[in-house]
Amino acid sequence: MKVIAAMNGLVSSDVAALYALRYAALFGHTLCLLHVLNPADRKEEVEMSMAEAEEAASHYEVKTERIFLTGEPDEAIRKYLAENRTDTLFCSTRMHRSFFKNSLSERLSRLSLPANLAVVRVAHVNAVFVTENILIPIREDRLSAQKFAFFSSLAKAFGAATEIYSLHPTDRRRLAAMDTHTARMLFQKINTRLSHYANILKLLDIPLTIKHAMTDREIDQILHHAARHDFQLMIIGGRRDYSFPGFFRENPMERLFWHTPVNTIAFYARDKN
Amino acid sequence: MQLFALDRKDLFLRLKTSGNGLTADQVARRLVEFGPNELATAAKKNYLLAYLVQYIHFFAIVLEVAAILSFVADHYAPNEGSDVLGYAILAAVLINATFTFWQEYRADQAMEELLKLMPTKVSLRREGKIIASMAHEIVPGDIILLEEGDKVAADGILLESNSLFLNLSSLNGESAPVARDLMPGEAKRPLDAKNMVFAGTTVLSGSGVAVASATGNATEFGKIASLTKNVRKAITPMQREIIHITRTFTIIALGMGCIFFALGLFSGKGIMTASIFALALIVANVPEGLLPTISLSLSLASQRMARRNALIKNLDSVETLGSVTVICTDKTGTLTKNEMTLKLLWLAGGEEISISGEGYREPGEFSFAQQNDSTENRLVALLTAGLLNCRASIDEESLRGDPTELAIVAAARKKGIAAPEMKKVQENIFTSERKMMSSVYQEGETTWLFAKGAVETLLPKCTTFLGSDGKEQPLSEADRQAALARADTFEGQAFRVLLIARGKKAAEEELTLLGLIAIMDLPRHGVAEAVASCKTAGIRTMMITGDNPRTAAAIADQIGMAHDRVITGPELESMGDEQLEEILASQTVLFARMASSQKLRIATALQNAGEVVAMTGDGVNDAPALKKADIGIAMGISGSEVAKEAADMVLLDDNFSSIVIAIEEGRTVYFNVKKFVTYVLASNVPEIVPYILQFFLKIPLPLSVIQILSIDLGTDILPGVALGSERPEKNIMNRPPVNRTEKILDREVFLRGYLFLGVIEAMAAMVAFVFFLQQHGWQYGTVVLADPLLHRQAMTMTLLGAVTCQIFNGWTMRSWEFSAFSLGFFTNRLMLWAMATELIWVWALLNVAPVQKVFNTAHVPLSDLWILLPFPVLLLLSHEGYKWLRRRRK
Repeated sequence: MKVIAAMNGLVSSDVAALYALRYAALFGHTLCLLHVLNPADRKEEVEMSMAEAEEAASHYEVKTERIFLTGEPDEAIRKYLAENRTDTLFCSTRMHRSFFKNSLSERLSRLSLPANLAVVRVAHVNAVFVTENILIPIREDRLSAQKFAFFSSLAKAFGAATEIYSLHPTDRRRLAAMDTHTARMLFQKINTRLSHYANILKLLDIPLTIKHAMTDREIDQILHHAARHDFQLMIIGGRRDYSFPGFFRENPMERLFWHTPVNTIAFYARDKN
Repeated sequence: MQLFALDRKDLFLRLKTSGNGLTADQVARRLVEFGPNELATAAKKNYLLAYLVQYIHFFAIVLEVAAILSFVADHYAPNEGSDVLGYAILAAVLINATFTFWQEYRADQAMEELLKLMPTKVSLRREGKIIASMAHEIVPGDIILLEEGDKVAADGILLESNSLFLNLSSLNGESAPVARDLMPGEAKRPLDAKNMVFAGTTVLSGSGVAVASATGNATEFGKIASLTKNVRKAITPMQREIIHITRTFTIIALGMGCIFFALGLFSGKGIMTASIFALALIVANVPEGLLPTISLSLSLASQRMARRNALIKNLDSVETLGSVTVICTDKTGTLTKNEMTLKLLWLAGGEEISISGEGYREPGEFSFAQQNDSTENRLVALLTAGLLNCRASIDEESLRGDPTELAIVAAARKKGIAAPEMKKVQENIFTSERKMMSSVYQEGETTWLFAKGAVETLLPKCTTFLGSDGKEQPLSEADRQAALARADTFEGQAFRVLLIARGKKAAEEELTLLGLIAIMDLPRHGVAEAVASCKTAGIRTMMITGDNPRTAAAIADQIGMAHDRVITGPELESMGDEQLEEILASQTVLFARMASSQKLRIATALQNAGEVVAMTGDGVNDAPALKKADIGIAMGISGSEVAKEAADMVLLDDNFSSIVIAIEEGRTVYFNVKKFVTYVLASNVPEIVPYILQFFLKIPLPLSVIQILSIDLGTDILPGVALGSERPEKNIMNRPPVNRTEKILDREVFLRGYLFLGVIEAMAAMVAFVFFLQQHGWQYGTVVLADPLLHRQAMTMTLLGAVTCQIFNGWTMRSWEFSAFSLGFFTNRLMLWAMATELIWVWALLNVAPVQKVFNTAHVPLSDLWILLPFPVLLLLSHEGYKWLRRRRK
């Protein structure tokens, strides 16, 4: 089984490779350092980045291999994934004007892939070295098994504490009318539904906190929470249906990636078919 | 390992940079990777959406439905003018929406212009060269050069530091200079690392070189900035009022429309006639001009406030100001000048000298309580020693250095002392541990050391003092006690006290005591009067400062701010919310040694106690409290961008007095809105009554729908705006704050508008109509007139009856309580223009053919117009009489 880090010589792709490395180290997978050759390439920079990743991998006793592909990057990667059993592909994303316009990560996120995809947005270059607290915001109790597995794996890999931040979407009027008892009952219900995840984390010896919030603006609430507390990594669920920017408002995922004050990974589970 | 704990080699490796900086290519790629170094503090406002929203509030929807019904009516019964009515109503909606949107847009633009004033240039080292760049182009790995006075544009780790001191107040609210070092100290978080510089902070003195570690929202400043986004504010009282007013009128309009539609059907008028009738009643009941008049009035008020240094960001906040019951204010820069002034000197020989002139640039005189031949020389020696041990400078354009040193330089300038030509060979910097600083100079063969610092630190290092004879004498224990006692006296008066000494060798020992200097940040001019004004206006003023309790209490005493007790930050920390609320309810409190983050708690506690809170702030940490407060007030000069964005109002001069002026304006707006709502209500009655009478009596139609719109959107608008810009009534700041539960559209407004003034206006309109018809041979019972011109003339009389009464109504409504004649004829010129315009409009209705065609009016001979005169006079006199009776009863 492989874990792939898509590399292009940029700082953020180096950081994404380090996340991939820690993930691969946990399961004893091979770390594939992948690059799709193109005419405007800086191959020596890519190779330098790969060498650094290999050196880091040697500390964790992770096997590495270099893969150079040609052609359209998204197609070449899809083809490679189809032919090679892969657990997760880590790919960094850029912050140029719009995340969702013509970036490789965006195109990959729309493809049906036989591997998990982790799109990494780097806010702090160094955070990957000091990851102690990982946040996963979810809507109420909606946490898929795949996303939880990825989240808990990274927590285990970094030896980090975790927090599930459960958001209950509501409007201002309902929020004003909500009394403490009703809110408590609602949160207890969500806690009960999440208890099996809590138990698994306990078994894995990973500290967990579950926090709740009610909000009419989910993205702002998540950003607010991430800024207020000391997190080094946030994991969110990638949503393919957010692919087109809204006419009247920003794309929520794009807004989150644009404003996040901590390193953030958008996780897209592999296509079941 | 954290970035700040890495050695230089690893740091460069991790950030993929070098001491020479990044290459142009790397910068371009990192800009794409990390985005520009900008704070995205709020989602951008969608103006298209904001404009469309104007079409979906209650009034707009009622009018849109009315327009649709008009077009439906025209479809079934063409050529009866229903289509014209439909277009007229749509035009009313369009004008209303566009106008309200335009006001909001202008207010937003004013704020954006203000934000553009922020500094944007920085010095960077790239490819080994020093370049000037835009702050938003900084990327992680860039090498930033910092100089005194610079604003730090990104978080960074210091590579070089030369006596670097930062002002971190934008992050932690503490304005004391903070030394930066090349070693991180025992820090676990970036904020505690002594080798880090942070975006949004300022270099007070020294210089340094740092490598950028985070930009934009990833900076510590950016993180705090994002906190402001999610503190939601309740809707403003004005928004609540507008909702209440629109709902009330909509319910009345729809209710009346439905009743008369049903009555029409039952009385056999037919569905078409009944619907047009109901439609007319709805249009008559909806005061179409009210919302643009409110917007315009608030806009004019905000412009007046901007001229008086209070920039309002959200128009609705103007009226909230009128309800403010507590002002929580910073001390430094708001109540005080934020300019340290050296006010008192004590020479080691025993003389005390006071200095006049406040701040850094005002001239001043030295007053001596007692003096001898050597006093002048010893004074010069003390000031020269102070001057030579300063990095600060004052010139015509700029001030450089920390406030304490600037105060010394300013005092030396007042005395006309310039620093003598000597070569500085060494500087021992100030640190919070040493509590002193010194500079070593070489003058020929002589070495001089000049020192200043805390009395308890520096006095033990002194062995001699400059005595009253001008000669150095041994410092006895009694002399030491005298110096300590004097320092204690000065500190008791809330002065900051420093000891000045000099020595004749490079070491900080065996010094000669020259004297003490006492420095204070003095209250601003006019603040004491503003605080007194708040007191009479029933507004509590509360100081929240990071300074020590003694200074806070001394400043409060100087400006007359009452206080039973001073609560410090640690005390507040140990208090429960209930205890805090109890104290705030029962005692007048000052808050000292407060961190900015504690302001949010104070604001919340006050609001829980039912207070309407105005809160000032300048740092980024203040932003959540500014958002939480009912009125957040940011400082225009010293405030951070984030504070300005979070605030409702920006003080362009950072002056407390401007807040009080704004509150006066807010109260005025509240009462002015009340006046013009009453004014508009009064004109609704002569619009409704003709329809009701025509329904029940056998008379021709007295007023057409288009004529109703000509009043609501024509003649009522300008006087309404004029009432909105009426000056504050003379007792406005002697009244208690406007109660939040009080509604603009209250019983008094309703009765005065509808049942008192409105009834007189309806009488005027109907008497004019009936009297005119009877004069021209009409018999009761004739519903359709054979002569269409006569009908148009009669309708013109109805319209004129209402309009002439509104002219006088506008004049008498100028004061809610006092006689309109006591306000001065020319004090509201807009009202005079409005009245003149109305008169011109009356003339046009009578004489201008195109106007007559649109509004269905006709020329009426002068001999028939006399009937219009008695009613406006009656309205004026009865309303003035009513106000007189109310005053007498009070």
